Amino acid sequence: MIGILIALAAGIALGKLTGFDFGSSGSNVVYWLLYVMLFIVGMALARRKNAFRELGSKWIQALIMPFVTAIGSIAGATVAGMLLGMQLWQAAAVGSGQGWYTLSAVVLSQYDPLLGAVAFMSNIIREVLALLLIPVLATRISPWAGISIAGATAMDVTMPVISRYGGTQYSPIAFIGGVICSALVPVCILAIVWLAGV
Amino acid sequence: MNIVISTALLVLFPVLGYGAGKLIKAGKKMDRTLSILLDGLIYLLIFTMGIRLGSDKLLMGNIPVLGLRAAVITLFTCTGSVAAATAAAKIFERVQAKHDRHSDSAGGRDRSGQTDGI
Repeated sequence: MIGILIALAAGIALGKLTGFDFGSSGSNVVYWLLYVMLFIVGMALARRKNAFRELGSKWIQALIMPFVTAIGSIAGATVAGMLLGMQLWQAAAVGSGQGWYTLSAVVLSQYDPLLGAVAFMSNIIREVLALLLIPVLATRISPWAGISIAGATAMDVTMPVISRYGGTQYSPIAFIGGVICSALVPVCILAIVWLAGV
Repeated sequence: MNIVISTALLVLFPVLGYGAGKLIKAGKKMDRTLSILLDGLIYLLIFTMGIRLGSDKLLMGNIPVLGLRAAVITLFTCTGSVAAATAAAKIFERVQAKHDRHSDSAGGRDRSGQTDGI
């Protein structure tokens, strides 16, 4: 974790000092780096004998867990909203972003630009926090804890980290979890907005 | 990049890697190399993400104003999701253990039944 923290801090410092702007190609650089990592994760998975058989009945769990993660995220955000004195629907909507900062920010800024900015920051922090904490959560609690903190990012950015620390056999589960969480993001946000009657 | 293409690539690359892993016949040294490579790339990815965050003036400028609110929501969101997933995983474990015990005892009864028959 210390190594990850140092890498992140060094990157932020370099970005802040140099103002180095990746521009639109920035996301492409990150994505291509990610594709190489996912290729390696695939290779590592192939080299693990009985990787899919080891999972056994965990597939059912893999389909249910993203819903549990979404409920936990929204509940946690609602508690935070109470403490911060925010409107509860706003906090819940930010929490249901599950790390997908671009989508949650764009959708919520239609209702309130400031809320869109909070959603962007909160979900970016979630992605960074997931990268930092997955090594600890996946090894000390369970790989499921690592997958749940990753939320929607389990299908891409955090998947190699889950695979590395939770076990290669968890990478297909992380991917499925991330896909379902991603699909739940717009559904949850719009449901919360609808229920709040905004 | 188009979201459809990028999602397709997210599926394609692990599948290609899986195919390559099955095709390449190599020993434990290969596993070690892959592990080291993945470690290095994880640090590189996080470093790159750090550069993107640090160079984002809008994000950095808003940290004093919105950062605390966003950080508190994130902290509770993460705690909520991890707590819920851990509790659910424990429930799944118990159900699975119960199921295993049940099938074991059923298997035992079957076996004893067979013995009686013999």
